[in-house]
Amino acid sequence: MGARGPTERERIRAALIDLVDEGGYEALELRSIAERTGLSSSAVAREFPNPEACFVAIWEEIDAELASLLNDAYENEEGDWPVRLRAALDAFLGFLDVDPGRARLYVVEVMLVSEAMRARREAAQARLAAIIGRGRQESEDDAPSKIAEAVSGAVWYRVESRLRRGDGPALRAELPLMTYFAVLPYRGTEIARAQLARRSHPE
Amino acid sequence: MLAHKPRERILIALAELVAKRGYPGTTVEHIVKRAVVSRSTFYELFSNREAALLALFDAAQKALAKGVAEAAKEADDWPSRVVAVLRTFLGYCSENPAVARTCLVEFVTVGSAAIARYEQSMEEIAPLFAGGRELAADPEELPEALEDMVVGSVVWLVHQRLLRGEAARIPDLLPTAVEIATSPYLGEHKAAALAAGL
Repeated sequence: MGARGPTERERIRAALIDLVDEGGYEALELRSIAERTGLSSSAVAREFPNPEACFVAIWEEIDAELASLLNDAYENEEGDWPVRLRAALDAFLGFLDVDPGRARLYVVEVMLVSEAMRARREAAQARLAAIIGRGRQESEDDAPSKIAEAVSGAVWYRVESRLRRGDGPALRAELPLMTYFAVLPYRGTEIARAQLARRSHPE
Repeated sequence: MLAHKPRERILIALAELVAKRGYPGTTVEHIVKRAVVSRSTFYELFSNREAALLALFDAAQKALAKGVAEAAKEADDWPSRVVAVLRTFLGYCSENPAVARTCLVEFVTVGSAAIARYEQSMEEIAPLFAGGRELAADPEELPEALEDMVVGSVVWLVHQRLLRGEAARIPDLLPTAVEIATSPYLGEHKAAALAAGL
């Protein structure tokens, strides 16, 4: 990024998120990004040769932000695995709630871009699966990691379908259910149930 | 392929094309060429590309429902019914990867009518799993949207295998799917034992 890069880029990012939210990925054009940002077409084209490159770059930024947020939430939380997992899930859902348009771009619209971006989305989901998989007790080191994948998949699936519908309460309201579902296969019914009794967030 | 009637040929061609190049990259031209039918035959049967895709989804769901009903007939309790249904579902997706990919991966990129149809079919699966509530030690403690999580986990596992082009390995998911789908109701120990016995 050049000296003036960050500001232009931030404007492009905001415009991209709005445009994708309004018309979907397929209607995205560099011309509309230029119009929306007030930048010249050549300034936009200097940053990105085409709409796909723009989408991919912004998606990667969002992904990197979310990855470090997820990791920090898990690592900085003190306590046993269910508590730390809950903190990570809370960070995940909270991040998506901040900007539903950005969340839809990140989770839903990315499926329309390319096979490579679908694989990137899968890698993002695998990060959550890795955190869930840490619930595996050392005594059961042969337990299938497919369980973690299935649980993380259920979380993504539910988030995706809620974002597609674009209505209803904040995703964070799902936190007790999702933590319960993730804790259950590793720690059993009793410990999982305790997660349901906790409020989704103190507000 | 020519052994089939035009309608079936169109649906088969559509599934193969959409699975390979996505819905946006598939045109009526591609479909009629691959199905070896005329454009007018296509438009006599379907008003447009989206209508054909919705018809494909309905046909797949019907075929799957038939298989599921047959498999469930021999199951005399809820756990074996869940095993039978999951086995049928995974088997169907494995044997029909183009249809499965079109219906589970590409379908939701088509538009609002397809999304509504998809969501509805997912909701229709939920009661099968909810049947486990009667076996739960304290059913009133189970969260309301639990079945959505169960459906989501199974669909996601299949979805990922389809994306990776690993349809042949989908039946291997059975123990995981059974464990995830039954542990909220039977408890983690019985669920693990049920899965281990498969």
